[in-house]
Amino acid sequence: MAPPLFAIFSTPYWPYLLAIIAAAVLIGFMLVSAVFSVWLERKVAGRIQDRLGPTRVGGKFGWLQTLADGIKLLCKEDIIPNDADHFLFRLGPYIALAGSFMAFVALPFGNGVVAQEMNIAIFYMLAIMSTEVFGIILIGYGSGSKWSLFGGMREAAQMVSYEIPMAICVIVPIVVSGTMNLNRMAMQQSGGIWNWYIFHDPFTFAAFWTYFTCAMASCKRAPFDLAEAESELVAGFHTEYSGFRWLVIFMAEYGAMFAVSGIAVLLFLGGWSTGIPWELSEAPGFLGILGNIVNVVVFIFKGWFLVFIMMWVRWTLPRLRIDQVMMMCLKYLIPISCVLLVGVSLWQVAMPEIVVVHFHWVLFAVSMVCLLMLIVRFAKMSSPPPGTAMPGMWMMTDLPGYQGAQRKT
Amino acid sequence: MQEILFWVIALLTSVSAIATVVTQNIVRAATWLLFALAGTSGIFFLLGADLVGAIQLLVYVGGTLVLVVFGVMLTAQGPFINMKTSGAEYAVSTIVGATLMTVLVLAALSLRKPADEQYTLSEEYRLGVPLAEGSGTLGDPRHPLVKYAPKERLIKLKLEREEVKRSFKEKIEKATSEETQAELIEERDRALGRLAYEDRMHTLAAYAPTDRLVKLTPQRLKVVRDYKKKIEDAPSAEAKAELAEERDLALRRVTNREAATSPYTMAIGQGLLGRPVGPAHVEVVDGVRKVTRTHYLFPFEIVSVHLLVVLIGAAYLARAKRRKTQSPLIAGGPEARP
Repeated sequence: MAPPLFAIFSTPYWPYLLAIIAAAVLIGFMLVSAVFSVWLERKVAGRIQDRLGPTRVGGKFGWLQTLADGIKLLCKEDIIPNDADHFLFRLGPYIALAGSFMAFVALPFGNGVVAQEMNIAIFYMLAIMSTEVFGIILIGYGSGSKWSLFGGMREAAQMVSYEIPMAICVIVPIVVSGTMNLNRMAMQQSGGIWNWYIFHDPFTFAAFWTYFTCAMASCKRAPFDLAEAESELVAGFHTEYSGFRWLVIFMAEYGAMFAVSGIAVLLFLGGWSTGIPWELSEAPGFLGILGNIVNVVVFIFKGWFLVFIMMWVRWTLPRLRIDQVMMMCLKYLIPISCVLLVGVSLWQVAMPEIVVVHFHWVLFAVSMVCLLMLIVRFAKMSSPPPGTAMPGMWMMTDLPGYQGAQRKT
Repeated sequence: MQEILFWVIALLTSVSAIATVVTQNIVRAATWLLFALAGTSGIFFLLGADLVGAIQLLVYVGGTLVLVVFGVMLTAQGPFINMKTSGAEYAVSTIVGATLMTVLVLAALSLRKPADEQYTLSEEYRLGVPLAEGSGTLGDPRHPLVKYAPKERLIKLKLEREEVKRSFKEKIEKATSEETQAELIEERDRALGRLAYEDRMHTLAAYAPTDRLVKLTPQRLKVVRDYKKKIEDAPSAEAKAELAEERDLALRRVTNREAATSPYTMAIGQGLLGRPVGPAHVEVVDGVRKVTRTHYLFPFEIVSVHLLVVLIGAAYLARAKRRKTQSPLIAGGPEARP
């Protein structure tokens, strides 16, 4: 076994103090991750939609933007509408944040780097994240505003529906690995990219995309962000919130985004394993600890990459209608996930062993070839000649913060 | 520390449970219920029953409560629903609640304290695996319980055994007559046997998980003694082996009978009282020793019944008399707010 970085937690000395330290580290990570994600969200939105994004605060890339936002939100007047249920209005955000944060307790960041290793880690995470939904619903209900109520109702309907295909998709790699222990699952996938469960068989490959779609919906991300559809509901469930509580809601949302991405990474994308044929954390002694730190970094980057893809999708696709969202889940995602579950079970039971053992090479090769072709195609794509005026914000040269190309007249 | 945590969680759970009953606003009641259920799952986690804790959260918080609030949001006619409870309703709910509570309290109180009992290494306890007499001491690494004992302890016992042997060796060598020598040898063997017995009784039993131990109840003891005599008297090795097999079968029958009436099948309510629950329920099915941990399922079932009652109540409330409060936007003035 590798020397687990946090093996110290299993020793009898000061376990409670160390538990508090672990919680502090996790909440610190969650908050820093949220701060980074908010900044990234704006930058990604800017790039994808041909806008500038944050440029004015903090010099290079506007990296202090979120901090400035945070200070603004902290200084903002905290308004509770007269019509709201004060108790629920105050409570809701914290329930959401707690649900989102508790999920991190079972998330292994590296080989054994987990606050509480559980045999049923993945199940626990799904269970605890359903608490966040309840918080959001309370927020929507307790605000005493019809916009919030609609947002909360949509959230409830969406969540109750999307939990089903999400959970079924989670079972698909569990069928393959035979464990619900996330750390062990990541361990099984170490030793090369081709070992990742996404390449294991066609069903896990499809399950990854299905899971990721459901995960996006469960995080209320566009195109499934009906709960906060600003074109219809002002701001949806958090219409009445301002200041610190609003901040807490968004911490919870970005925390949940990283958590579901972390689950996707651990289930399908090799978890904390680096994807090279050697497992770094198994190296002897101090090197093993260094390797484990590399694992942690790799895991965090994988998670952030999936969060980035969520942003990419959000700023590319238009929002669905609520009936389309429900139809997508009930008519497509649930049948698909059921087929995947049956398929992967049959694959494990009925396929000749030689196929089961070696199929991942085929899938890995095909995916890599497809990826390569895609990259080549993008590289060959003719870009517009320099100086061509494309419609966009950057045409307005008199805007503050303008840095782009000259407008061609 | 675990006890402190237990009392904190239990207190919060109880307070929330009481608030669930007392509060008049349905959604607030659901919120209090959330805390009560989350607290219950917290106790499950504290007891190490991760799976049940997670199921508790997933089913009740993620499913039932969301559905309750969803139902309220769909059916509500006023902004915040309050309800007045009539005396009859109080009476019915008190009867139902008191019945459940009685079952729970009786289950919890009818128990002996496994916590005190399970580590008492009295004569009653004998290593359960293997049941055959004399087989396996600490010296025998194949003993199924050796792996649980710490190495230092094993080494210490080995040293003790060697010490006995050495001390007797000197005495035996110095012995004047053959008779005293034979006596001394006998004495040495007795001491070694005692040590071996202590190995099994104390060291192995002390470190082995309790579910690997089988309590030697009078019935089991009787079977073992009966067959011991028979086996000793048996003429051939084959007959002995046959008898041993027969004895094991008889023991299995006793075990199964005991399993059906064991006090530990009722040990399950104790988790709710914060007591460490007794040894797992050991059952022998077709010669295979199976450990079933069913203790925490009882509180889980109780909570399920409780939830069922709550659900029926919620369905009833959704269509029963409500005191409509008009929105202050319509009625004017915040004083109309509940």
